[in-house]
Formats: sequence, C-alpha cells, structure tokens
Amino acid sequence: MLNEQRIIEVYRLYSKELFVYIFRLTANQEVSEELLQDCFENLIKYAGKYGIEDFNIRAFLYKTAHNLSVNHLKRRKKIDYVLLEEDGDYYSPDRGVEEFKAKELQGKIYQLLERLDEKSRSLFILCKENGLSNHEAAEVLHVSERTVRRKMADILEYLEAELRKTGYF
Amino acid sequence: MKNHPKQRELIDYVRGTSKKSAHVGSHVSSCKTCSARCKRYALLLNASDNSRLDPSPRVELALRAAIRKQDTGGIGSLSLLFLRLRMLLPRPAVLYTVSVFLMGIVLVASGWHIINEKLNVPMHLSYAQGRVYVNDNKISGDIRVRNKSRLRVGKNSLAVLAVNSSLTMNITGESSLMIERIRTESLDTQTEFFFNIKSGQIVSKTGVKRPHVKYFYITPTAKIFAKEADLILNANEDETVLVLKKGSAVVQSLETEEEVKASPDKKYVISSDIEAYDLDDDET
Repeated sequence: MLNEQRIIEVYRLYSKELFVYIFRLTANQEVSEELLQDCFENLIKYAGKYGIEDFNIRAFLYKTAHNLSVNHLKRRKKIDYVLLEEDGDYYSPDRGVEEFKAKELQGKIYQLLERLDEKSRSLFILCKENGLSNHEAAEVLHVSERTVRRKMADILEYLEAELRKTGYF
Repeated sequence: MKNHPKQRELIDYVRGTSKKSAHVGSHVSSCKTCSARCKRYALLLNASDNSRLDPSPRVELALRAAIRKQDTGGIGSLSLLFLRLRMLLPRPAVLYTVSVFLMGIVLVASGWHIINEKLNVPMHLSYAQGRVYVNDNKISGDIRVRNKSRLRVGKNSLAVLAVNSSLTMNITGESSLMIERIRTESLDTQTEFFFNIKSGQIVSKTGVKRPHVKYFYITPTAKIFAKEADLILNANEDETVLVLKKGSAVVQSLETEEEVKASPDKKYVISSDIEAYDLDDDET
C-alpha cells in the first residue's frame, strides 16, 4: 500500500510526462486532467489491493493512461487538432520562421495521426513525445518489440508520404 | 553500390535505440540519401514543445482529497479501532470507555446537526454518470449539496440536481457551476437559489410550485430570473443561449443591463445584447 506522501512523490515525478501523453492523444486540457487523476486513483486502488513495486509504477501508470485514453477516444467524436495551437501559436518576428514552421509541421503531423487507429497513435506519441524505448512502449501496449519497430516504420512511411503530398518534404 | 541500412535500422538510429549505431552512423555520415532520410525522420520524431503542457494544481489537490477519503475508511476504521481498544483494555474499562465515547458522539452529533443544517441546502445530486465532481471530489451516488458547492460535470457525463420536489436540473458535460442559497428573513420570507454557471448546458424543469422560492441563473453574460420555468440554458464565456419551454423568465444582459421578459418557445441569445429568435423545428 502506498501512503499519501509516497503517492504525491510519484505524482510529482510522473504527472507531467503522463499528462503530455494523455493530452497529445485527447487534445483536451480538462479531459486530460480528469484522466490523469483517474490514473493515479487507479494506482492507489491497485496498490492497496495487490501492492506494487517501485520499479513497476511507471509502467503501470502508462498502461492505465493508455487504456483510459483509448477508451475515451472511442467514445468521443473527432478530435479537433486546431486546439493544440490555440495558445496563439502564430508567426511573430520574435519567434522566427523556423520555429513557426516547426510548430506548423507538428500540427500537421497530429492531424495526420488522427486518421490512424488509437493504438498506432498511442505508440507514436509514446515514442515521440515521451521518449519511451521499444521495450517500454511494447510493455505499455501489450505487443512485442518487433511489432513496435514495424509499426513505427509504417507510421513514419505514412507521414512522410502524406507530408510530401502537401509540400512539407 | 552502397549497402544502405534498412528503414527500421535508420529509425532506430534516429531514435537512439539502435544496437548498430556506430555502423549506421558511419554510413549515414557518408551517404547523402540516408542522411536526408534521417533528417526527415528526426523532424517527424522530434518531441513537440511540451513546456507549457502541465496539469493544473487542482489535480494534485483532488488526489490528496481522494487519498484522505480512502484513509478515513468510515465505519470500517471505527470497528477496527474498537477491536484494538478492546484487546488493550480489561472489560470493565472498555465498557466505561465505550459509553463515554458514545455519549460524546451523541453530543457532538446533535451540535453538528445544528451547524450542518445551515451548511446544507435542500437539494441533492440524485444521479451522477461519468465524471461528476462536487468541490473537486468525484461523486458517484446520491449526496446532499452544501451551500456554495462547486459542481463540475466532465465531458460525456451527466449530473441531475434536485431541489426538493420543486426543481430538477439535468447538467451535461462539460459544465461548471456554483450553487448558492440566500435566505431573507422578513415579513415575506424568501429563499433565492443562485446557479452561477461558468460554462455548460443545463435543462431545468419545475415540479411542485413554491411561491417563496426564486431561481437565478447567472452566466458570464446574463442574469436570468426564472419563475416556475422549464428552460434549456447553454452558456460559455461569450454568450448565453436560453430557450424557455414553460413559465416565465426575465433575462438581463450583464454588459448592457438590457432586460427582456422571455416568452416560451423562443430562443434568446445573450451576449452584449439580447437577441430573440423563433425556434427551428428541431429545437421545439
């Protein structure tokens, strides 16, 4: 069982990266916060019932975040990825052209990811945004490392082809 | 002809997960085609700027509240405490201690009832589906609502608020409101309920008539005084949309203080002014 102090320590350690993952999947601040809270509440319940080793906590949280996010995505309508750039990300002289183009590319990538199934989208975000290794991503998604490598290759090929059509490459 | 690494090997190299990074790196540095491919993969795989993506402090507060709720454990903890106490003390002492303890509870509870009476309002959350929070605590069942409670309904969620038998309010996600009761003691005692709606959608239906009770709906752009009214209200920061199905309501724009008496089966859009529209067929 985890005591309050330990849970808060764990929260402060992992909440940011989990939030990034959930947000990149759901594109909604409020929903992401709710799902993040659910992740940690699930951890508390699980640890209370079965106990959990420290080295398993991160993987548990990622798996929970993945399952909750995918379930949410299956229930909701199409995500509007314009929201990701709602914080006023337009070109300004202070920002520079390169930075603006990079932001634009990221927005386009996420729009293209929307066409993929939830598992592929999750996988890409885990590797791209959260920097998970093939082994870690395989554990979260309950697939083999070989599948992770194959899917990543397919996704990148798809993104390259689509971005080439629209002049990014 | 060069032996180019396979696509997956290049991807692993760009991601830093390659087991042959020295070999692949050496090839990439001398091959324009593979170098260009690696640059494209790097662009696609570079993490976005997530520096501004942070959960609000509210999440940690809600988590702490959830932990404490679990720790107190309710009746289960009291039973455990009693058992431990019984093991530690001889029987007569236990009986004496328990009776003092029970007397204390009765005294405190009767005092608490008097205090609590003033904090509760005559309404309860009769149904909650999905993510429904009262003062950042997730709710799943029927609970009484206290004065100045903050109610938040997440997306794809539903809460039903009942005010005795005089008003039922369906609140769908995503909605955020505060509930306040003001009671004026005078020759003509009035009770006024204020629903401060920050955003969201509510559907209100009246039941038993209570002439001394008034309902006010306050949104970012409007103040609506409803009397025995069935209404649908949609609110956000920029505008409020009201459809009055039954009864009467007075609508005021907060910005201009323009006031309109609402008629049933019309739609009112309140922003800086108040515009009235006939309802479309699908809105009737």
